[in-house]
Amino acid sequence: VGIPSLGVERFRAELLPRYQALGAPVIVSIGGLGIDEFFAVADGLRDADLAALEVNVSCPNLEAGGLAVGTSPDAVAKVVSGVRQRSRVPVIVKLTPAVSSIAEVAIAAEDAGADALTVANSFPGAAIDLVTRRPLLGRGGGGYSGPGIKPIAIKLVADTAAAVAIPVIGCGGITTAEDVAEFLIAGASAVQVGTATFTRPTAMTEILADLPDLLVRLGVRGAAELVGSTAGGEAAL
Amino acid sequence: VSTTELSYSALHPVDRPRIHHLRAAVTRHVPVGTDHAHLELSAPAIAAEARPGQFVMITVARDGQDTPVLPRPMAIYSIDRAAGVIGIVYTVRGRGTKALRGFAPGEAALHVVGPLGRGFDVPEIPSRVLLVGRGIGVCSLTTVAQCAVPGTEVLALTSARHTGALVGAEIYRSSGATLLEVTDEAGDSAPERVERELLNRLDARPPELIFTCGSNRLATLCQRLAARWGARAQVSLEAHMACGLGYCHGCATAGAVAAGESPLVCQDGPVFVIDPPAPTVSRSSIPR
Repeated sequence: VGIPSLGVERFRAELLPRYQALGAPVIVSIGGLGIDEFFAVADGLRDADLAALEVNVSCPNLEAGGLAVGTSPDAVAKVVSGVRQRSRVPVIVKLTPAVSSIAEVAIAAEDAGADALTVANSFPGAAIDLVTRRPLLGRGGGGYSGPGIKPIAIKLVADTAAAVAIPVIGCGGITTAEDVAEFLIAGASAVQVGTATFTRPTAMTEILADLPDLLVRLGVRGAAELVGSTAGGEAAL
Repeated sequence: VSTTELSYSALHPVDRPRIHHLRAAVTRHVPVGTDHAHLELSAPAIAAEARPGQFVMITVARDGQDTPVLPRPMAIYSIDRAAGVIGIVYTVRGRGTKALRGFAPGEAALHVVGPLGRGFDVPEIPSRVLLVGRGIGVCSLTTVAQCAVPGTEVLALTSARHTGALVGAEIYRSSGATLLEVTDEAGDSAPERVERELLNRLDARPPELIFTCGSNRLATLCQRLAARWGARAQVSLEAHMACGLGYCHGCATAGAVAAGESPLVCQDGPVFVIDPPAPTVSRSSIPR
């Protein structure tokens, strides 16, 4: 979709203070249309009080004909090492699922200095109105996410966790505590929840409330015990 | 933002609405005409603050069910601040509206988020307003009549394919608006016919504001009439939305201004200014 934002200066002046006032750790997700824009945004956030930076490499790279930065291991390495140099806080890299080998891109990000990986972003998708034959979204296509992508995301998380030593943050269609446990077992150390909050704005707090009972049912003392615990080890998936 | 004939601009920003998430009980759910249903929800916080032209996101998945995954955007059709009730009118079309039709009065509450979006610039002093709506699009306009300050003169045109599909008569009448119903069936809904009728009725004392929703052809007519009368014209756009909050960017308007800069229907709209018609001077007549 090419998600526009206020720009880093206005973000810092107008939006960031409101997030910081909530009292929770703040991770800022950054993107750019071209490699230099990533660096400019990272520079703009250099002295901000953040818990981490997430670099979203799914944005189209206008310098490379619109292909996502995240589809090229070389471009990912370039972006990640540049942001790593500019940032004082951990750098998380959010990978695109639209690649033939996520392990290859994950390794490139790790070697370039990524502290963690988010797996993965939404899939490029489109839908068409049968009567008008026009795309249902104004810009033609958009990011497809939600429960429909969960099995694909689980596989991507497992493949990534098997390929790198840094932590993986899993996401893609999580709506329940059971989904969270599934991602942890596949190899994620943490998770993100997006689409479910559109259906139920309280989804994340409900999931957190449900998690302790689920952990008891699964016979573990904490969520960390589940991480990467597929029966049969990493090769199982 | 441009379509084949019309171009729209974002309205000047106003304070973003204070957004509430609540579980709203169904207080009434009845068919309207042959094609639509009217749902009333107990949503005091939203009813208290909703402004004409705003909308809500309604989750149609029942508790414990996974689908339909995404909430549906619905224009606020009526506001009863005293009772704390908002109304919506919708057509059963896809899976979401089919699921919604199954909620009975008194039944489990729906997740509702709102009020959302940038509504119409309703005048704070008595003025003359023309509302031009077609089909279910009329639902975005009815609250303009309902919330108008006393002394406002409202002419409300509601258009549909056939009589049973007309929307808005009840609320327009009870709001004191002059009602003008046209249908394809009766043969009086073509834009040229509508234009003649509106000129007959209004040319001597034209409206200052023209609000429209539901038809690109009628919006083009509104653009022309606004230019003739020196009126301000605003249109409410419809769009598929996943969040309604400006988060997912799925409702970016067609025809990007520049890469990544299209206004969002949910946050910058749904109401936009209809730009004046492009000048009709030919290239050769432009002085060099």
